[in-house]
Amino acid sequence: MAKNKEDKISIRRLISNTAFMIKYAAKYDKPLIIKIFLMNLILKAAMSLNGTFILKMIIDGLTGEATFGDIAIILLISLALVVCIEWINQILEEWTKAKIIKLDGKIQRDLVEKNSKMDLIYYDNPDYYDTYVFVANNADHMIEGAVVISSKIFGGIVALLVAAALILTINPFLAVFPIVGFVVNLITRFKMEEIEYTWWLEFKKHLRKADYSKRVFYQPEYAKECKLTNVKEPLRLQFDEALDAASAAGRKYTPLLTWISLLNWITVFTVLSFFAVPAYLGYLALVLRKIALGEVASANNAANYVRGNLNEINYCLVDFQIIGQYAEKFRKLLDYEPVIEVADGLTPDKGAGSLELSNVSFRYPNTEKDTLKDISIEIKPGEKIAIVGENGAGKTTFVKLLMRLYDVTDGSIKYNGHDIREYKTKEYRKKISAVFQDYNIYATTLAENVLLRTYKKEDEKDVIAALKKADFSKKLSKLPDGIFTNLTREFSEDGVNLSGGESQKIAISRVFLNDEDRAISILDEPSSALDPVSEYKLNKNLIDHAQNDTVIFISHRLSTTRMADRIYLFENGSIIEQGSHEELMAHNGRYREMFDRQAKNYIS
Amino acid sequence: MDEKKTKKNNTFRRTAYALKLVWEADKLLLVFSIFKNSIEQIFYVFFFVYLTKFIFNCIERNIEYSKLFWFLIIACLGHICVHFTCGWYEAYRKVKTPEVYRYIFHRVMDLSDSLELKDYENPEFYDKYARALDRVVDSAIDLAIKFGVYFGNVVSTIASLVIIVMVDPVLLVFMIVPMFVSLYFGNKNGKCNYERENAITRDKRIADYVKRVYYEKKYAAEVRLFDINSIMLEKQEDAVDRMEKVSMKYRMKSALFSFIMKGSYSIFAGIIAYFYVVARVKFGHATDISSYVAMITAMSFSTNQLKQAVENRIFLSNESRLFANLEEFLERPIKEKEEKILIDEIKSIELKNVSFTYPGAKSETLKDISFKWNKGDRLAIVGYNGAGKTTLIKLLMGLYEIQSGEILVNGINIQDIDGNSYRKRFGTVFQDLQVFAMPLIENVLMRRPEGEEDYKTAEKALKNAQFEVNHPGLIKGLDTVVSREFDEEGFVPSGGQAQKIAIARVFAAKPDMVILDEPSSALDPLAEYNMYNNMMKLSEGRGVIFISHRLSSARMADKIYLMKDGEVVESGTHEELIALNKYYHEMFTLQAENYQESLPEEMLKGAEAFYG
Repeated sequence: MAKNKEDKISIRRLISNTAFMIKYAAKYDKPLIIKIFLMNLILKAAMSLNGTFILKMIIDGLTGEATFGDIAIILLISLALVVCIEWINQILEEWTKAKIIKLDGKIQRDLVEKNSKMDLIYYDNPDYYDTYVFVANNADHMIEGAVVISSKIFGGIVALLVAAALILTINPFLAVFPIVGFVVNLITRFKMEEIEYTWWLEFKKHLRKADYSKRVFYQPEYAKECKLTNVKEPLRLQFDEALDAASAAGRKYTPLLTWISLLNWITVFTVLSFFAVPAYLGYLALVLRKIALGEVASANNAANYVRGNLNEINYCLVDFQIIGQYAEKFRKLLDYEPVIEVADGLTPDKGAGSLELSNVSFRYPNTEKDTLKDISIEIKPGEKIAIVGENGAGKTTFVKLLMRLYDVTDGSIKYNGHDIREYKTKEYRKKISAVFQDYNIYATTLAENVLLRTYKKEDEKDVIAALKKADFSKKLSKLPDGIFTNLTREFSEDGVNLSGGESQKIAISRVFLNDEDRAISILDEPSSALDPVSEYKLNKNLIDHAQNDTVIFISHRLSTTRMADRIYLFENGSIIEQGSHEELMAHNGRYREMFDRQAKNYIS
Repeated sequence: MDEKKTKKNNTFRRTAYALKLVWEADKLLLVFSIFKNSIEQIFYVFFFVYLTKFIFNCIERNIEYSKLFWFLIIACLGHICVHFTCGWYEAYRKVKTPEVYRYIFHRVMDLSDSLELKDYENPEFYDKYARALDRVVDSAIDLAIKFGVYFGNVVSTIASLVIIVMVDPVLLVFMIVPMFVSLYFGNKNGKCNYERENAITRDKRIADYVKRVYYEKKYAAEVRLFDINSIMLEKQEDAVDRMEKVSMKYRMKSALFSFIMKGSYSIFAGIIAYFYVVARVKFGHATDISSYVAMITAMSFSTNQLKQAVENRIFLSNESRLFANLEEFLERPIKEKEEKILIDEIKSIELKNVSFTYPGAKSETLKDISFKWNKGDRLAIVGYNGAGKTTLIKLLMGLYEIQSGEILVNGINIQDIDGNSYRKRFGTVFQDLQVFAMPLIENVLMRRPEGEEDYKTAEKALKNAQFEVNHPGLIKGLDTVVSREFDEEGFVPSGGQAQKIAIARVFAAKPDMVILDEPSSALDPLAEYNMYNNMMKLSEGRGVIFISHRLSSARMADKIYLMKDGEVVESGTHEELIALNKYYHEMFTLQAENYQESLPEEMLKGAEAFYG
């Protein structure tokens, strides 16, 4: 509920928001925006001129004494005007839509780039994350909307002014009706849109739940569970409850909405335009006998013209409101500033350096518990370090801190004697290469999946060598286009989908690229999906490759931890045991318990 | 010609089907939708054509003002009455839209039982049905509304044409000509738009994909550590540039068509008709000028209606396309439920020379597999990545039909037994397991809890699966919703935690047969050890088949099958396979190496004594 209140934005703010969007778009392509605005204004003005003044001349000619020739000239002018208007109108509409694709594309790229320079921690901040997803997802039609709708509203107002000018020349008092209508319309519309928006937010919330529950019934990824368990039963209940709640949201908001919209329709359309205009015109013509048929027809026509434009502005205002709400989020997004990703500073020296963590603590935003508590570790250049521990002990978070994906909440991490916050983030990260537990395969060529940057000709050898070390050669020889094979079927029909084990090998191959700057290798459970033979080969290659590096690896298979110089055992965010394998075995603590459990069945 | 006819019929049929769905969900909603949206159009004819003519006539003939005034009052009162009825339409629609949802998806849910796994995995299924199902409800209601408007357009066009004809039949010509012109070019335009959409689909997908990479959390770390921007932004830029170029080409064509469409109205029903009207009044012997003057307004109104009618007709034909697929899906004949044998206990499963090829695949995934499981047996399947292990267990649960060989359950061919009841006797944890956005307890029980007892069962199952029940993320305990899909206080499980939840399902269900497909890949050693121990206890006297890359756990099995390239290449007990000194031996030694060397002598001896 508190959230709904926040979403209510004053009309002034809505207008300034939309103006902001247009200015933002203009930064990318000012001529385009100006062209769209100008053309729409000219078009609307020409249309309304044709629909009111020229029509009046024709009607006047018809009811008066003008000859056929006089009227014919006016008609020919009108013909020329109409052809131009229709032609320009269609071209403008289609041209705008095509042009805006490119503008959107540019803005989208900028948003994406800005997002990629945002600190990772923002992803744990639902406020930022939801805003970003919403903004990025809707940017295309919202920017188009902001430009097109505002230009249409301006055009509509110009048309209204032209029609009002005509009415004024016939009888100034007649202008009162459309003006009152416009004001009433504006006030009630905004109120209606406000309620509508509140309803929509609540409705959508419930509908999301219903949507999710029903999707499970036909989305392929859930098919197995649907076939093998009774999961459909609780999901169906959940679906029904969500729909009941969605209905209830409708019942809650709609009565007020209905009354206001009745007020709007009856005053604006029935009373002020259908009734008042003809009644007053009739009164002028039949009772006061001030005007003749021609003027009645022209005035009536102009009044209709006003009504038509009001109607159009109505629809535009609905969109205007939506765009204003969207722009609010857009502005909010632009207000976020990264700290880590843009940090400037020292460039680390060549070669390996020492890592020193003193009393490091870390807590995710919006949580009550430290994920890491008081961690102190010293790692000399070239040391091999193993991190072990239970699920959720904080191992992956630890690695992320080392890479400065997050900043520590307390304590400090020093590389080569300098706090890592003193380095330029980009340069510091060049020193590290990492394989994560949750690696991804991208919809691009195999080569680029290994490099994770654009492919250049001279990369070929390195890519093939890296894949070979990752035990991928056998599969590579079977791929139709070798390292240029497109991965995933995301948008290339001949794309190749890899199995879990194969994907993992690709992720691992990323470590085998020879980066000159690299001094630290981080391996976060690199072999969980591999069969024993592949795993063995890989581990061997990894060790060879990283011979001179500082290596930090996380593994659940304690056999691999044996080769480490030191092992740290994490539990609940703290280090509870540390030392070499032999020391920890002799210590007879938790590590030994784990190791023995695993080893037991291997001993024959 | 024939083709065109069927196409038209199709639009009508598909629209009718969409309306039928709304009708079956809520009759009043359909009636109300059509009534509200058509009556408005019809009222416009009254106000803009009939009333205008009436007023102008009154003025020309100098009829008393009070008559005009009262006529207006009555007309407006009528209009207000219509408002009061239609005013509630929006409210009604908002309240009843969920009912349409409910109706359509209850049918989908009922249908889903008859879908087979291969239906889901068929990419065409997704393209054809899933996408249609995502949009169906909004689309159905949209169609009902637009149909109402269309209906109103048609009625009001006819009504206004009648009034026009009564004034002067020649005027009709000026309406009919642009109508045919616009229908012809409207179709062309529709085709052009359709071609445009198709031409940019792929690039649009690329642009959408790039967008997704940046907002899905799973990519976030890699994006920051590598130069993925260089790949993605280039892809997006290329795609956008292509889209703009292609769109522009089609859109300029479109602009020409729409110009002819809309221009023909303005020129024929506007200018040329005016020429005629003026000529009629000036040279002819038109007696009532006022009617002709009124016709100027009337014609612009009815052309508008006509334009709208054509546009809505095009909308209906485009939007209803989706319902062809949907009808195919919802009205698919459900196979007569054959009387199949119900299995109340699985006593044995036997595979005889089973071979299997995935639909569309070139080579066999499984070749000539034979093996037998008896109640109480504990089997392990080990082997290389991609050897077909997961496929094998899917087959023995009857999720696919095999091409050769046979699968016998309790000695009966699997094709003769009731699949749904048979599969419910398994407890399975897949590699690509899913947790659902519903309360944790429901994720374990896979049903709504009915009492205290259920909570105890679920808690015990979770503990057996080594899930930390007191995790601080579980704000509402077992009632905490899993995932933040739609609950901000939801619990987002890590890979390991999700795995434990899936394992807990097996503990809670106490099935005849447990199937574990690499259940421990994300578990830490202690959790893995305890989980396996508990699972072995649970499956005592029942049965278990597990796939594992960790051969230490494979050892717990009574029999081990080693698979390579779709075939079983070795089988036997751990000791037998070690003695065989081939693949298994190699794998085991590789894994065991580091464990053995490091162990002190006495430890080895102790373990030896323990395992015999």
